[in-house]
Amino acid sequence: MNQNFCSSVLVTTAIFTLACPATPTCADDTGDLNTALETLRTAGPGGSGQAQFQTAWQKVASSDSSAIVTILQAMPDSNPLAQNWLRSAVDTIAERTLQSGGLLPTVELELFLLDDSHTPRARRVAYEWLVEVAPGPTTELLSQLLNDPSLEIRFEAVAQLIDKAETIEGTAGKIETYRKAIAAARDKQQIDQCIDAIQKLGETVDRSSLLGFIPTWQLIGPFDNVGKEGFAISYPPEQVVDLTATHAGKEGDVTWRPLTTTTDSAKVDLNKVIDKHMGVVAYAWISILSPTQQAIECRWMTPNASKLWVNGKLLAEHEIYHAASDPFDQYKAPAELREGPNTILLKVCQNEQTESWAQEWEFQLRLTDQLGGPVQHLTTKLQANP
Amino acid sequence: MTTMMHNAPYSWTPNVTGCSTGTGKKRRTSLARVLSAGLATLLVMAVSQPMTASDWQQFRGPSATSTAPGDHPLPLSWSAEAGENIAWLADLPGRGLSSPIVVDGRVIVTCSSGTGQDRLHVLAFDSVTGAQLWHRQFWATGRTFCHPTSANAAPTPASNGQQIFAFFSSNDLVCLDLDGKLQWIRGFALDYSKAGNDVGMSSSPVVVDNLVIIQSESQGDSFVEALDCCDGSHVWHRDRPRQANWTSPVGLPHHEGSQVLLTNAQGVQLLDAKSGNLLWEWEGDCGLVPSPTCDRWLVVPSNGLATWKQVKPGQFELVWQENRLQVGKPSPVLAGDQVYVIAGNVVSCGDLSAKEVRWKKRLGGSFWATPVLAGQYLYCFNTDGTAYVVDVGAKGKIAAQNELGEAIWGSPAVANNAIYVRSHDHLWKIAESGHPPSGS
Repeated sequence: MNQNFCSSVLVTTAIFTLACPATPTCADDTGDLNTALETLRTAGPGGSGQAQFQTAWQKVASSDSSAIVTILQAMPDSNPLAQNWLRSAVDTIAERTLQSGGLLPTVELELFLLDDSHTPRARRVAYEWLVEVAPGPTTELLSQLLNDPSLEIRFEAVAQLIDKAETIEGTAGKIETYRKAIAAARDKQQIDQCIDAIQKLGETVDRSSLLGFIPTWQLIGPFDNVGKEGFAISYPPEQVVDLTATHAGKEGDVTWRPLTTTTDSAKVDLNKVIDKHMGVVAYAWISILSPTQQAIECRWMTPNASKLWVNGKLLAEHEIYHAASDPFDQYKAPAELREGPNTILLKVCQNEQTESWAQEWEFQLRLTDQLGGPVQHLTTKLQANP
Repeated sequence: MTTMMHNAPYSWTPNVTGCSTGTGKKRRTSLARVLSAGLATLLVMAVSQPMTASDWQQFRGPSATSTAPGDHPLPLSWSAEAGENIAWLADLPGRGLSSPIVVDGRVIVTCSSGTGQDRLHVLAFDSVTGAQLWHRQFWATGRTFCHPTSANAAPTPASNGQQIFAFFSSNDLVCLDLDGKLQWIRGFALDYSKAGNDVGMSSSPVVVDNLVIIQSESQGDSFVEALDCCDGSHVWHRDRPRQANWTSPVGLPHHEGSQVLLTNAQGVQLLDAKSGNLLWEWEGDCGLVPSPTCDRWLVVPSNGLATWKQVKPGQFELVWQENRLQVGKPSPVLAGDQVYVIAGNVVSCGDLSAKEVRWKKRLGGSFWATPVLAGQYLYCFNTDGTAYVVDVGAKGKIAAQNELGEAIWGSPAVANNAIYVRSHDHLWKIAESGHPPSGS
């Protein structure tokens, strides 16, 4: 058990011991509850130990509502199975409490919600139960939660701000509010909604920059992918990127060529840039100057099979062709940028399907923080560093 | 339009799923043993009933043929707008193409919500009153992309009468008891990192003996896996071809050894349910959306319809391949020697014994939901929300045409002389002499 969790459980336990000494979770059962919570926090992949988790869950879910905040405090940041065990226990307790005419600990839940040091998903559960019992006061809290680490809470706060923007009289105030919403928003539809509204009010918005898309690339291809075999073949760009080199491609020699996209989606249509081909491979390369060492996420979309390298390290590979319908941020891979120049290399493989919906050969890539916001102060360079 | 009030009394009952808890051992606990432990007798009996004649516990009903067993007088006409023959309706918290199932007086529905379809819902409603009994929510642990018309909640849940197995496109499998108590949960995308169908996976789980069997096939990690119903532990696993497939497994329970039937682009495979061993296979080009249907006959969408006669359990003899019985998205409905299929908006009837196409009838709209047959009437719901009631005893004459006003993508359930059908937003109970829902 981590110390922070121990401490918070002890503090909460002390509060409830004073407040409600007669309840089951306030007396001797507290130790059992903590043991059960600790068991559920270990739930992991593979399916082993389910009977043990089931027993622990029964113990936790049989608590009264005074234990809800304690349970939420036990929710770990990065174990979705444990989060699910604990959330369903909280939901069970809260539902049973309300159906039997009881009350939820709204004051404690509100304090928990407003403390963003707690696990975002745990805070979201608190938010949802507060909305259930006190929708008005809870939604009033949203203005404080516009940049919340919980994307679900942030979505609600941004939606409320967009609603507010629509009621503001005067163009300048509207635009200012929409821009504030865009800065906080991490949901593509909300961002596009705000951009559309601003553009209708007569101002321009650089959507590509707002979303962190990379608009410029060096491209080379086509290499052979007949029979989808090219996905596994390490063509020269995977060995070393020499922007002045000429390589043997599928239908003759190929060389690198620069491209700057002009659309607000920064989507690169390889059928247009390299020409319409089937059973082919292309590579896209760019140099990124970062002002500092930082952890980022690479997020990309392609209906084609792909591999991604950052600074020469293979981060992800997906041998999936034409499988998605709305693939924004289809793939994500955490990456570490170092201070100064970094390189990104993306391999995009087209297969030989003949259906009309399988003709796209394209990609779109953006660099974000962990919540999907654009990484600031990056510079792209089309030339390799000496 | 309003939903029913959530005013059902809550009962906190002991675990009575027939599974032991806390020891990690897989042993059955008999009803008598539970009773001897001094637990609340009436409550135990209320929740530990096995399948009743009025249950509809899986995708396409008790025998997975989409045929309601027994005599089910169902209404021929209804009106959502006027409330005619609408016993109740309930709001749903998210999208779904899954069918409702009916288990021991509860209607179970799955939904998914959130901008990324990453919130999973399992809800239970009182089948008589429509009151919401419980609502459990989970976060998806796998990929949640799907076609705009689909949803993470595309697979229909299954039940063994004591537990509910809710499967989602994100490869999350949740087991709850009938009171909504979490029994176990598996996230297969955590076990198989490349599992995921970004168009949306729709294969429904099936319960055979004490196993829940799931089929998850995509261009990534693809598998069929059997889990112990009691604790979700691994029993057997078979890798499957890496090709997207939306069909569901069919359980064939038998006292001499139960089997499970699968189809994919390569053909039909029959597995021993206990071991997963391959018992029989047929190589051919099978449909990837409609599922096979099996009773005395086995019918498989394959360039029309391929039909086998089940000579004895697990032994099949190919008897007919008919390209005039084209199968679209809905699965074939099987009733005795008659098979009913929908392609586009045309419903066709074939006589498997005579090897003849009996009749065809053009309906309207687009069909994804597998229809259900109750008595002589085939209930066909389309994506415009129109339900055609087709009289199969009168060569497909349309007996009635009803509007729900919302797209129906999931197959209805039939139980308690009622039809339970869901849209992305609502769940209806359609029954004779239904009263208009309060407030609508």
